[in-house]
Amino acid sequence: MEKDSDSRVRPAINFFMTLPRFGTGGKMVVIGIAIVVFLVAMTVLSPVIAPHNPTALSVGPADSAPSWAFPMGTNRLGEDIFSRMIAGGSTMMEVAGLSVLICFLIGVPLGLVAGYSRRMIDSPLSLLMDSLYAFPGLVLAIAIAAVLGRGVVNLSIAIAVVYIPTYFRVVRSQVLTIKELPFVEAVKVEGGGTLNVLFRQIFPNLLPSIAVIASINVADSVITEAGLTYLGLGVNVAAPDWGFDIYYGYQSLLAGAWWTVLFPGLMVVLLAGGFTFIGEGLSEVLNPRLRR
Amino acid sequence: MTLLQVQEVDVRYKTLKGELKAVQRVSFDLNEQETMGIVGESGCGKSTLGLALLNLMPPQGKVTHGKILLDGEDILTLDKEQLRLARGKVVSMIFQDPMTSLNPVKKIGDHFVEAIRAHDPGVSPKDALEKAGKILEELGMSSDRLADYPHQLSGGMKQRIMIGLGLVLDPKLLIADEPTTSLDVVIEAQILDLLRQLKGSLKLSMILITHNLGVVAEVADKIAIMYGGEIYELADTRALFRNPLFPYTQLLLKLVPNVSQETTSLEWIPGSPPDLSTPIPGCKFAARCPMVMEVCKKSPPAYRELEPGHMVACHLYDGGKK
Amino acid sequence: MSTPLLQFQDVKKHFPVKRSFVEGLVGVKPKYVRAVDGVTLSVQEGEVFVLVGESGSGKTTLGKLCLRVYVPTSGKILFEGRPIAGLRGEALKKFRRSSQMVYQDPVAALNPRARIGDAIAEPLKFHGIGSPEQRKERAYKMMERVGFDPPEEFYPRYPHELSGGQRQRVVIARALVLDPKFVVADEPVAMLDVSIRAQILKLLLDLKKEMNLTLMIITHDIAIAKYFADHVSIMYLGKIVEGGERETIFRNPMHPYTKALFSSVPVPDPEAARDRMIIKGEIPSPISPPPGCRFNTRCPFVFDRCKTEEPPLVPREDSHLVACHLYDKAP
Repeated sequence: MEKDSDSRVRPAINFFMTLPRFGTGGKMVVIGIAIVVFLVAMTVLSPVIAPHNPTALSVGPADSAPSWAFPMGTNRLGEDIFSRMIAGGSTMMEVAGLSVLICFLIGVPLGLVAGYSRRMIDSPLSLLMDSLYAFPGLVLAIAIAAVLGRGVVNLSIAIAVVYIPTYFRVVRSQVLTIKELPFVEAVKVEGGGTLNVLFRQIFPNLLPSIAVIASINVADSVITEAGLTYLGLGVNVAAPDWGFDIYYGYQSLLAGAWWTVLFPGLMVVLLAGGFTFIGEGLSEVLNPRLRR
Repeated sequence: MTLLQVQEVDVRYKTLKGELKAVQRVSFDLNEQETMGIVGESGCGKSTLGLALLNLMPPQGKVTHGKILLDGEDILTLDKEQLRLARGKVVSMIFQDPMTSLNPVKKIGDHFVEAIRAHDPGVSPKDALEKAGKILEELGMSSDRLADYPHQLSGGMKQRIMIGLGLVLDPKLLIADEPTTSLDVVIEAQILDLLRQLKGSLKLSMILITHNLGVVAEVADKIAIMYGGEIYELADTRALFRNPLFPYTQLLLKLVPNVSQETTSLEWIPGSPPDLSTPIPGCKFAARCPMVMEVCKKSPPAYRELEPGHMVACHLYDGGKK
Repeated sequence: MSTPLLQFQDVKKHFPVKRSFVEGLVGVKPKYVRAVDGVTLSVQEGEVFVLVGESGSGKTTLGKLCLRVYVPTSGKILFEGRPIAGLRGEALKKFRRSSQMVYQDPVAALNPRARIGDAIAEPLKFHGIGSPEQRKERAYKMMERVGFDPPEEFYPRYPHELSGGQRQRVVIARALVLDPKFVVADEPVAMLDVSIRAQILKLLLDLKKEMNLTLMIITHDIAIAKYFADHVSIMYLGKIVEGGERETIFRNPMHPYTKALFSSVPVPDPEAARDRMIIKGEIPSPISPPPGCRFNTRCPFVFDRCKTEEPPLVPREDSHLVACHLYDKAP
């Protein structure tokens, strides 16, 4: 490396506009965002675009295979699966979104504090987080959900608790690195206080890593939510929900009606996949892998 | 006897902005036991040239023209295995930052053993370590250091280890890219002294890449001045310092403070090195040259021998020597 | 002679080497990195004080002590006659306004996510100076002074959009925007291309004259001392070994380390005599400095006394201070 190398790579601030030029990573992000936006829009517009009322019973014959009238077939209750797919993401998205928000609001500040403070504060916090992290995620989520009961908020909390340690760890390790950099010391010499250092100097430099973690986290939340719903710990039985459909469709599956499970499964994978693409793509863009 | 012949070598790099010519039509010869310095600012292509000589460029870089004849063989035509054997045994390279060039989890001795056995699997680890110990002693270090890990050594010691690793296979040519830039002045003096000694005792050819003319003045037999990917002047060390022809060379000489002389003032060169991703029609130095003429901006100067052994590319000498 | 702007009185700064948990439990004595180990110096108002030292000498720590980034383990640091160690609240803020730092690495010294204009105006914000518009104006003025023309065009740029030299100008602008009295520049040009170093140094010195600053430049590059210093001090392993006016030091370097430093600089003249003083070995670890004179392990003139007794830093001629037994006229 030569001195004063101006070719040092820094994450571009207006990266949305330059993304495609960043090769594979950039393309992944764009694809991911497209998928997610499409699914969200679809869910939001579902009252308008769904051909049938997703909760209307017996619009068609029970467990009928995909046909022109019902492109994805019907389930045991005779509900149109296609309409249910269009509308069924809302709970999942709500829960995923809320759990990410909780993780962010708790995990990030704790990580900041732990990374910046002395051992006295950092050690116990890290210990707590490591303990939580050691639990198998799904088991912990189930346990908490069982205790708290049903409902979007409770489910979100259950999932959030599982992922807070990840946010905490990533933020903490980044803070440990960043706080040693001269520009942080410069702020102190200029007369800046600790709060300024934490929020205006360190925090903005954490955003890229947080974005990556959040994306992967949302993907994970989606799957976990589906799993919890499948196990009967889900949210609202009445509203259409992909996770619930997988659970309920299992019986129809045994009778040979594969469409009752496949389509909801695909939707979950699509949503989780979209977020994963964003996360992985971002990760590649922001931390270009060492080329061979 | 000519050891190295570089003929009209071009190296291109693919970047986000497009393709750029990091090295353009570079030619020079190097004889056995000769030391050559390649001097230029950062971004002039000197490091790229050094890597090209071993065909060690990163994937975005490629030699797109020219030949590099090492001991008569064009290394650009060698396949992977032949290259691997040539590297270290015939030509070897050391880099600026010894900190990152050594594996932190391996003992120094292991580095040597690995290097030796990669080329000659028949050598036993014990013999390899013995050889390594001898080299360390020649470098002014105790062979006890073989048992240490890199983090236990200082910068100067690590650089000496790097030189040792570069020389352990008795190569004919050693390429050193900014070998003393990251070192303190006192250690730098030690290393330069060491290199001068090795020149004689090991009958080694060396290429020293640096931005510091003071460093090459002591060690090099001849010096090439690089700018914007091209060699603009090449001459014997004495001739270059006594009579620098290319304006950039003259400015470079003014830049290096001579601490033993009376104070005048420090100089600098206004402007900055050219952006090689956009093609430049004339002489690359025209934008910053104090003696620029109209013709300089339009057509590139021809690279000619103005005096025996003294090459220069500059329109100032278009009508022969001034 | 008026009160010096800055004074160090036998200042020491020792950093504990972290012990493992077990070691702490068992009661193993902690070791210390004696980065600064008894430094006495004074910086006069308006001078350019160049501190020369190699890596491991403790010079960066000394610089940070000047600005109260660290507090001394023992000894006193006086700024304008008053100790800075105990400053709090308003008094501390006032001190911060008067003393600033220019950093070595222009890339790491700037927040990559802050616009450079904002970074320059930020110190003003911390001290509650002016309204946002006034601060911007002041930032523009400072940017113009360091060579950004027109400043409006450069204000919203990010560090990665600038060249190394430009970034360093930003660092300088940021250090000077508060109109300080005292600026410490730690290797201000070491990471810049040779061809622009002098340019940046000249900028620093022009600004010093314009703004009536006192400048401390910390460097390992002798040339900077030679061309810019009023006063030169040489530091080795935590202590000052020689100090004096620039002329005096360069005309007659007395300490063997200083002599070696001067003769080690590569000279761009192939004809020049090569009778260098090559000193062997490396700088010892600051955790366990050698007894007696710290340089005794490498000094070509070492004799017995050097290994047991530490030479004091005393004036040998005028204000030329040296810490070396060679010059002791005592029996």
